[in-house]
Amino acid sequence: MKALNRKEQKEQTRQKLIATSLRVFATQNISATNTAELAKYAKVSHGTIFLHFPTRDDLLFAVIDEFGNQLAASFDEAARTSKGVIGILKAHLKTLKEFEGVYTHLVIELPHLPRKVRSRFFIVQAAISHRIYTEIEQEIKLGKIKNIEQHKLFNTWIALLHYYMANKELFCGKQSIISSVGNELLKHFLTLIKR
Amino acid sequence: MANNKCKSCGSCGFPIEQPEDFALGNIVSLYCRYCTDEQGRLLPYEKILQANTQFYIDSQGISADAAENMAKDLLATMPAWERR
Repeated sequence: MKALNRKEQKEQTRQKLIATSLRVFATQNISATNTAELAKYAKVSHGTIFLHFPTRDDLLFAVIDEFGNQLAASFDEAARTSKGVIGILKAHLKTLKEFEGVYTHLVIELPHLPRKVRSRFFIVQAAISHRIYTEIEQEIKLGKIKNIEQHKLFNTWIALLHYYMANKELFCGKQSIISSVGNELLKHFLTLIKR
Repeated sequence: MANNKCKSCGSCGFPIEQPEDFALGNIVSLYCRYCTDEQGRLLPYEKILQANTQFYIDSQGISADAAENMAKDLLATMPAWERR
């Protein structure tokens, strides 16, 4: 096996820290988890975290970006298969399912997270809203979907998802809420917006 | 960019979906085409602030004041603007 050079090793450690954070934040509160704990889970020294992420917020930015970038890749894939609104909404659900634990903690804890972290989360949501509306706008022009403003359409969709995600134990216990009700919510959302 | 993770713009923070959405269509660029001019140079801070504020408003109905504060908070974390 080829030995990694210094730059590759650095990137590998960075990715390991992001992957560990995603795993840990999927099961425990983000606000209550400190960097010393994350270092322990990642099996690196506490100081190593700060070599890659000068502050805890920087690590949270990387976690949110990981979600946003994976989502952009899913949207790109959906766009190439040209499945319209349903394809884009399914791509959104697919990525939410992959990041379900950490995303749910972000949504629940968002009002208590630092403002900069919130701004990062909301810019990813802005990108999702923009992407979904780009698809829906075409169907509005064709008269297939009601003429609803972008933010109202998006907030309706995201409100449905967030309610079920934040209260998932009431609906499906320990199972994935997206697997349990994702398709049902998608169908319901479509009946709300279709003419 | 199929099967690859996408990147985010180092100026506005938007995830970049398509190769042509990078500045000058160059996937090694740090910025997106919306944050740069036709020579690939970064637009002024004020323009990006205004665009991001509007993104927050249009996408999620956030009030103008809250959207502007959020955009300032965001840009302060971006490689292009954190040392500003």
